[in-house]
Amino acid sequence: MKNIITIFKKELIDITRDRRTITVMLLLPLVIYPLIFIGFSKYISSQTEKAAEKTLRIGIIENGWENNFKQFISVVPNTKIISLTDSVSAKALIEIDSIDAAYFFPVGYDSALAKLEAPSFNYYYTSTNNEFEVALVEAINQQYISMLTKNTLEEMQLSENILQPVKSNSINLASEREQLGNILGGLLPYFFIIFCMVGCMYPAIDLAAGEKERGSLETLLVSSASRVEIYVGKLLTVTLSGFISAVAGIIGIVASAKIIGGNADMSGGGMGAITEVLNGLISPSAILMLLLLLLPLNIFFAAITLMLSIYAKSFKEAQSMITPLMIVIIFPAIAGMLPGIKLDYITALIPILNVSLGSKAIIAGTVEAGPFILTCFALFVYAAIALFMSVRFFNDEKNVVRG
Amino acid sequence: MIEINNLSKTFSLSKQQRKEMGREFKGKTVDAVKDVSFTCQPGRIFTLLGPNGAGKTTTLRLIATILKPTTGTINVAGFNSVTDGVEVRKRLGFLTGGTGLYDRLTPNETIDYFGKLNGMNKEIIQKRKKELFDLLGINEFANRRVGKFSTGMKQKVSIARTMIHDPEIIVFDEPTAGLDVIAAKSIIELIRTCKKQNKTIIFSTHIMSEVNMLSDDLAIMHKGGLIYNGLFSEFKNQMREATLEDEFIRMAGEHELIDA
Repeated sequence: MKNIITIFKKELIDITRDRRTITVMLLLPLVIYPLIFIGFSKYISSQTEKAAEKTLRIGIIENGWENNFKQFISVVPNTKIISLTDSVSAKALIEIDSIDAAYFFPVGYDSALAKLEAPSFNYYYTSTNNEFEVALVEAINQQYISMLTKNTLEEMQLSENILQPVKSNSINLASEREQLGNILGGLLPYFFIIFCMVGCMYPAIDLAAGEKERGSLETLLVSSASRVEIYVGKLLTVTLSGFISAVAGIIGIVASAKIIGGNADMSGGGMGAITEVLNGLISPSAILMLLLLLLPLNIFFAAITLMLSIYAKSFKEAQSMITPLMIVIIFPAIAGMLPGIKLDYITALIPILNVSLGSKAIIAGTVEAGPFILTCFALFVYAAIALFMSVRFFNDEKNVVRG
Repeated sequence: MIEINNLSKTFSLSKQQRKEMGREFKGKTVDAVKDVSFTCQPGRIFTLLGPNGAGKTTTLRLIATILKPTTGTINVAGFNSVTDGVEVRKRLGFLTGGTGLYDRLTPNETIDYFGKLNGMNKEIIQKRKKELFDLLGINEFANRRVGKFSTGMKQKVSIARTMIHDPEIIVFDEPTAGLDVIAAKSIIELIRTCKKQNKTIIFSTHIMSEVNMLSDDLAIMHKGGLIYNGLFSEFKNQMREATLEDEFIRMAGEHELIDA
């Protein structure tokens, strides 16, 4: 035990003096990613604001007579009418983004409308334009058509209810926490899983393959510490590093969500609710349940990365063996975010996916005891298998002195 | 004392390694050490001489318990290398040409680490560390990280690390490989000092001048087996060639003929 603590302390000092580990373990999740998130969301909201203030330029191809659309559009705010002579020039102006849309009404449009012949009109736009402008044009069309409908019904002295004889009211029984938990619950474990893996990767490579390459592993093996003590000391270090990295990742995401949410509150957005859900998350029982899922996963990652690393001849070989693992891990982590997949007695047995689904249910407050217990059990079994294999690899002299 | 009886070590080869051995190679295994027996006595320098690939490092790794013998036994200071690995390692120091230090630790931290791992208490580590640092002249760089040290400085720290627990058995695996003359000379001095302290010393090399300078007992290894094992003085008397190099080449050639 004393030797394990000695080795653990030394490895911890060693890896925290490595700039690469510190960058991956703390700088990326705590600083770089939140900055990217905040920057990105600021950019999106500023773009939305800009678009809302924009004047929509609407071209109308004049055929020498007035039609009711021109009257309608003249009272719609933030619009500007541009008179055009033909559709060729209209198309050209849309192409060069001088106008956002152009309308063409055929001869006898107004009289056909009066006779209820349902005449058609054309409007030109390009979908490669700003999506926001396209949506505005669609909205204007809808407003125009409903205005016409309303007028016609009034003329015929009919109630608008004739078009919509009943109204349906939807009442969602899922609480706001459940709804948001479903979205965030998928996202947070995804980040935990990825950061945990990344946090394990570098120390695992450095402490096994790296030591072997530098020749220091041989001298360590000749010390009085047993191989299992050396292994456990290293495993604890890799596990802790993965855990710190994952927790830093979660703190980074929560902090940036709070900052973004705080800003959105001021402009009347709904992001503040996310902050509420996140605050609700910090209940002792939720944290305990999350840890029950995340700790065995953490040990599982540490044991696997350490096993591959001790097998590899060099730092580089270990890197090329462990990096593809990331892709294997990302798939079940993403699958947990898909709608329709729930934690049940089958998904509880699939590693990583079960963590993703389990955390989602915990955050949404919909976790069921049976599948959750099975998930924990399965995860501890996987971690134990990984540990067993990893220790065997470490005890195999072929791996330790390979190369 | 180190007693080795009928020691053999066989490595199984991967497909790739078998391919690399050439077409004439038929087996799935290779014998790195074949039926080797010798004894190293306290207060004497036992030299293991042989070309690269002769099996010297494998033999020393077997003694140091890093590898386990396929057959045969090794007793180090009265302990079996397989069943009492920890006891063997407590009494053993291992020094190689590659210093095997941690770049991000200081000499102070490195020595404390290995002292603790060898079961020493704080006071004894501090006392012994001071002696070694004074002797080797490490004090001026004791608190700087090893990463930027010269090879000579690293070798000094490596020596301190090997000697911190005052081992009675010391294994030197080509300790002067890659060192300049001054650093190599300090290693030679160290080996002589250890001999004076009545330690058991086994020392592997392929450098003939070192053999000449240090050996009390000599074993010559060739392709995993011993082709000489006896007193160095006797070996010199029996020599048919004028120099050690020529005699070694002659013996190796003779052995090749017998093998063929």
